[in-house]
Amino acid sequence: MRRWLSVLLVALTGLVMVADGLVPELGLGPVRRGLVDGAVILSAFALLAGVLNLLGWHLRRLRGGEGASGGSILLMLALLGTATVTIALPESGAPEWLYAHLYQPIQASLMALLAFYSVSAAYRTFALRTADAVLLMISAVLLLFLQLPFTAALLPVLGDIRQWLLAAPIAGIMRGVLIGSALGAVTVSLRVLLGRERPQVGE
Amino acid sequence: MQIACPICRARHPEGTRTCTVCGHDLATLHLVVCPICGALNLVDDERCRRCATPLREPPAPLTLPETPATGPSESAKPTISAGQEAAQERLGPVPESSAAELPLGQQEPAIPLDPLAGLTAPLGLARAAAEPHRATLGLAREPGDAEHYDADLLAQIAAEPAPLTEGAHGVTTEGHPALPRGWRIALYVLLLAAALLPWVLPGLGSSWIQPRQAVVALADAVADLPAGAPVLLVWDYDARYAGELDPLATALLAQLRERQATVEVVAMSPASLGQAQRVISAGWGDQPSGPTLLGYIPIGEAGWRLLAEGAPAVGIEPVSDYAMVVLLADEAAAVRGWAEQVEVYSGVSPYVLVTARSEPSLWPYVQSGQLRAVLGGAWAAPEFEVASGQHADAVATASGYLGLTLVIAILAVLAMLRGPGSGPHRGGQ
Repeated sequence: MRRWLSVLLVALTGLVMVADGLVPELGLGPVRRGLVDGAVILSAFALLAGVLNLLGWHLRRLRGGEGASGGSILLMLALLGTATVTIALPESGAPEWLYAHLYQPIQASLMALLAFYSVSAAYRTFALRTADAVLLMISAVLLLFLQLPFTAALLPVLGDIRQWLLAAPIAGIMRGVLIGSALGAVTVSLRVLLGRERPQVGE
Repeated sequence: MQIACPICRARHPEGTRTCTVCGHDLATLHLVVCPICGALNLVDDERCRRCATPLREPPAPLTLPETPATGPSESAKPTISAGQEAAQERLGPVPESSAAELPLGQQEPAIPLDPLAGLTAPLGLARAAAEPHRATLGLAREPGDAEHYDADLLAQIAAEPAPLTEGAHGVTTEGHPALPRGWRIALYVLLLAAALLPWVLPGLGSSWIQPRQAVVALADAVADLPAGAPVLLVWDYDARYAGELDPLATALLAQLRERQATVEVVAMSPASLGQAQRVISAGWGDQPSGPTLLGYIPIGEAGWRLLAEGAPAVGIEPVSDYAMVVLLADEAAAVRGWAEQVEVYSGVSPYVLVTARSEPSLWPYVQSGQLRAVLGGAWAAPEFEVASGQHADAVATASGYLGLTLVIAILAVLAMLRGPGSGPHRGGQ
């Protein structure tokens, strides 16, 4: 019964949004706006529920003595510490300090490591020396070179080639990808509306 | 009635002969802006393709004679012009009570019986059909075998009882050759050297930088802003992409500051808000004239929709009230959210500053006119500084990109000469 209630609720909500988007004359705008406003509020509570769930999971893990506990302790300390500082001292500059001196350097460092992974992965792919790998290599080097800010000054035709590559083959391929993903979104939406997929209850 | 430029989507009063933004000849070709919903329509369209409002001759209130004759006679009937007659014919009969009982000028507008009648293109496609370089949408034809097959397939997938994730499996990478240890270290050192190039050779090639069209368009648009013009920056990237997007954001903010624009910033996540704060405080310090941070709007596409209509509770005006809107995003999905949830409803086409990896997937939206221009952070930052006459830090990053390109080229040559080919795995780990 609860399962069908959730399916019905999701289907009704989805149909209201779709109907308002396609036929504004139906006058469902206020209903749709109310739903969107409600979703914003719900998402804030969902975030809170997610944090509590995360804390609970790591507490159970510590209590059960499963695996290394260092990561769990660090995560909980960081989470509670950041939350406490942000809620208790919002005007002190401490939240900004945490962001600027911890979050930002850590995120930037992790992203910088990607350069090394990318180089390693590129070699693995290029070294296969298959037709696909050679094509990939030529495309990568060519586009990297053409995207440099100096290329058009070196030879004006290079700027035209870059423009053509982006506007014709690449945009064409991306259109195909977009249409494919749009069809996929339509299919998944239909399945949700029909109750075949139930992401709202974790199925 | 407003008209719009078919090239840059700028809106002008009816009768404007040349687009003041891009110089396109509007006397030859322009689009018609729906006065009700703001959608763009072809000149020949009789009704708005989105909301079906009559475009050519709005249904003016019927005029009543000043001295009504007693009794129902032919002369006592309201006088209707030829245009009104045509409009009435399209909209169906007007109930007598609406014309006869309400005072002059207060008659309710006639509501079409079928608001979608006469539409030859699906909703939302009007803009695409209006583009001169796009294929013209024709009348729907009878579906063929291929269409029937596709429809059956879609119905089959949509009704499949098993979850779509069933049967998914991981892809193994076993057997791929790895770079020998010595070569790998050498390449990593080269990569580090490329990253340090902006500090070692900051001016390398800066005199050769030639800004491309999209950059010039943004620089010109900023330069044309009158003092105090409201500008909205929608911030949707965090520290992960700070290295790529911060130089461009900083250069843009510096120009907006010079133009004395009234800048408001809204973020799409808490981390983006923190990043925006950091970039702004680096450029503006604590000056009261700095940008106003409006907070962040969560929940992705629904949040975008909220932005389209404005959020008075948090001080966000509808996006159409801003002289310029700029998105700064690390993901193409965020920009697509704008195109599909905000631009469609507000008609506002923003400038977009994105990561280089997201740039190609947004080109279709530029071609359809839903985005004004897309600037990839990696190359656009130095070009923007040159185009706007600044000489700050971003120009130096160009030498870093040159170094990175050289490293990849060396890697490609190395792989071709030394790689073990497509046979079994022979590289060291």
